[in-house]
Amino acid sequence: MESAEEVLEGLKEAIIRGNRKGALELLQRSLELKVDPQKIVDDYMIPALNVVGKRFEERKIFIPEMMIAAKSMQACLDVIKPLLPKEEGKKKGVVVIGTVFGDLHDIGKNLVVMLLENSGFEVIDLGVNVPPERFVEEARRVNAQVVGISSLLTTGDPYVKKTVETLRASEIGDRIKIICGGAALTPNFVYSIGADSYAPDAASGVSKIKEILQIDS
Amino acid sequence: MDPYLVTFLPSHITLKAEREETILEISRRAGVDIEGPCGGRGRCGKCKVLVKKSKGISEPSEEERQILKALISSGYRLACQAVLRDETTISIPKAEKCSEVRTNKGIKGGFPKLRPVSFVEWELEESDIKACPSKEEIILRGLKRKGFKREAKVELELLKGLPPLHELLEKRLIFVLLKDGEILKIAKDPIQKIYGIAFDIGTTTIGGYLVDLMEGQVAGSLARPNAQRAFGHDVMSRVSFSMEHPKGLTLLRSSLLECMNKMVEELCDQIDIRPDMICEGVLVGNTVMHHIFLGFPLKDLAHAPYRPLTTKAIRLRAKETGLFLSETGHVNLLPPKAAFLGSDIVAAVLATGIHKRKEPSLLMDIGTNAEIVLGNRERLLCTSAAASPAFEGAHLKCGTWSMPGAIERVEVEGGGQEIRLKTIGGLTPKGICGSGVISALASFLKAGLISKTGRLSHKIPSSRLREGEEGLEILLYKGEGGEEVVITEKEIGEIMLAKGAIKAGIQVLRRHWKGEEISQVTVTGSFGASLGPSDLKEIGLIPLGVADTIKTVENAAGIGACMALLGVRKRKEIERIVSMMEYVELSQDPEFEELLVEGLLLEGA
Ligand code: B12
Ligand code: FES
Repeated sequence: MESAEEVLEGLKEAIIRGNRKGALELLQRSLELKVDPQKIVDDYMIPALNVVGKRFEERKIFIPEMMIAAKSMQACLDVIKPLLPKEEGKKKGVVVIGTVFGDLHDIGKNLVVMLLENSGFEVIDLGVNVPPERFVEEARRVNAQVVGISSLLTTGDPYVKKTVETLRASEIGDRIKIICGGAALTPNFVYSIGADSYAPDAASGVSKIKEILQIDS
Repeated sequence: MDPYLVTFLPSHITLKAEREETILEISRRAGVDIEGPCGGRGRCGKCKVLVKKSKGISEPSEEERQILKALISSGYRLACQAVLRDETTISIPKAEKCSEVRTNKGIKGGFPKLRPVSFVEWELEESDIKACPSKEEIILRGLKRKGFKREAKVELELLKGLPPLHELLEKRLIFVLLKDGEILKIAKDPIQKIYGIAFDIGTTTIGGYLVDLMEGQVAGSLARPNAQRAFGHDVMSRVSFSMEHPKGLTLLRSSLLECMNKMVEELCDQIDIRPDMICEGVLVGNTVMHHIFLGFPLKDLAHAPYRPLTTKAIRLRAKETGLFLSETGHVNLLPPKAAFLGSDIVAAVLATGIHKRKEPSLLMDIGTNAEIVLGNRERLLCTSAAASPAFEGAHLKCGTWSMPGAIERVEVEGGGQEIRLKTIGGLTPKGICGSGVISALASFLKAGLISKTGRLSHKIPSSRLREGEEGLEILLYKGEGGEEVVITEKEIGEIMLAKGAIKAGIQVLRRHWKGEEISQVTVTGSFGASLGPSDLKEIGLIPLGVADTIKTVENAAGIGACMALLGVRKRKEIERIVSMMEYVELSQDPEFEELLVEGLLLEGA
């Protein structure tokens, strides 16, 4: 019989390779072997996702493999989340995120949410087609440190700008950090409208957020 | 600031500029053709130019550094990013000439021969004058007397051109009427010829068809690149352009009309007639083009909830639109279905007749967007799935339009030892177009040189497989001068994403359909039709279980437009199709994402 360690390594590998069926089986087996669910998540699943993010950033894998891996991760999370103790632990920070007004794309944003949550952030996801004022309201309500804006359409530029301006003009304007991403945006534009950061993909989004909040690792 | 001169090479066009402007803006004013695929956002890198000398130019932006890398030190800049403020000379790398875009060969496949017009010889009688209080009614009464059974309609504009009644007594006039009673033309002499014109206005190409209304036949056809390309390659960047620039919409509109009017002339030259012999026009196109032609603001197409201004058919005097046909000619804009389902796909339904079949069919127009219709004579489901500009060769490192020299077929032999390329026109390869990339993927797959997740296999000979700036890439071609054509794993990923989105769109429609399995698949659009049906199967764009044979029709939308031009009843049928079509919204579908990830894989499933 294989050791728990082998099963867990297998699980990590299965997530990285995007083998959803395999990952779910191995997860089931680890649970049968009575491995602590928190340990499975912290020591195997999250590191697996980080490997995927890093490989993507390094251009070793591309969109399809990243998305497939993320799907297997999501499937495993769906199984294991209910088994985790209600987390009280200290979060690295609170991020409010949403897709800009007028835009209904959310697949990329959902990936960012998943990665952030697994890196220890509390994430409030406002969904799609989010008006500027809602970003402000929610960020104020939950006392967020960071607002993330996703924009996939060229025609979204004016609304990204408006959202950043509305945030800046609000009472949280001088302390809130703003990061933007999504296929329509360019770093130049993002900086020129007064946002703090831009990231081309989910993994670097997480590192950038850590960077602006001055959190190491 | 002081005015300064900007010179463009090799054309030696020099222009005076008076304020700080990007090279791209100045080039547009100078009428110099620089491509701006991403609409000047510094994303695509296709507006690369060489700055020979300059007394005042901005520092390279972050975008320029990222895209151009080492080229910056040799003087290359992005025209959309570099801002000039003093005398400058710019050399433009050999541009893809507009006229080089592959033109389609006209209408293929027949459609019923129809004679849309009737001729009535009319004579003025005293009894008509006695019976009627106005010239209009006198004319119409005369037509009835001569046996024209339907209710005739006449534009007052036509009457304005007629001689006074007292001069008309005992004179004969020839009336040309559409079958629905609309009077097209009134002539003194017997009419030799009368023509109509149909346009299919695409984002990339415009198709034009000259139709002989007496013979009921297409007399000439032509495809030309849409000149709006200078303002961005995809519709959304043009929509943005219309909103960001004060005269944006006017510019887009005039560039479209200029293009169409030129096409009218070219078509007329083909068969040696004059534009004023064209009395009737039918226009189809995507909804953004439809709105631009009509001068409708594009704001409602720019963001959710995405609604066109109208989904009704529109008939206008051609003269009022700026299209130069006969003085009294009209144009008919067939109705769009939705913001991203234009009258082009509606016309394609008409042309393929899927709305009359008992068995369900799947019809797709594939380009940077994919319009998909699934249905039969009882029900038509439709949706629009975003694809990718990569499909049309844009945004690929070695991508190009489907023009002479573009690789359009790739065949692999001997486990990748030999790669055979077929280019458009059989020229030496200059780049690869969308259908070439799809063909490459299909043959790599068949040869086992690429995994279903899009990873290039190490079985590919090392002379061809290498690490590039963007990750792994495969070398397809290396010319004697060192010019290369490659496809990168990253690009394969992008193509897969687009393919996944289209397939997910099909799957969502199938789930809504629930009925009998699809028995017929038709792919249209100039990109769609250039794809090999077997390639589409190989890469798994068409789900398994769906009809075995895939038919491609190069220009179903154009054929549909001609049918509507020739048959007045067809215009009514189009309206019926629009009301039959049920729009399925993908962005609200909870299963879409899951289906997209499944659909990414390079396999038939
Ligand atoms: C899937 C898709 C759709 C789906 C969306 C489903 C959904 N629930 O999201 C559907 C089919 C519904 C759709 C619809 C439309 N789409 Co669409 N769509 C796409 C497509 C093919 C892929 C997008 C995607 O999911 N990518 C995968 C994810 C993982 O990548 P990503 O989104 O870029 O996200 C990554 C990064 O950008 C970053 N990131 C993203 N957000 C954020 C936020 C932060 C804070 C950070 C740090 C990072 C970050 O991290 C992510 C992971 O690495 C793209 C083409 C493309 N290649 O991008 C077109 C595309 C974006 N769509 C386009 C268009 C035009 C539309 C429509 C407007 C028209 C239409 N085709 O019908 C509609 C309307 C959408 C709407 N109502 O808003 C165009 C936009 C063109 C332009 N110049 O603006 C594109 C580019 C396709 C094209 N035709 O060229 N679309
Ligand atoms: S980078 Fe200049 S037009 Fe795209």
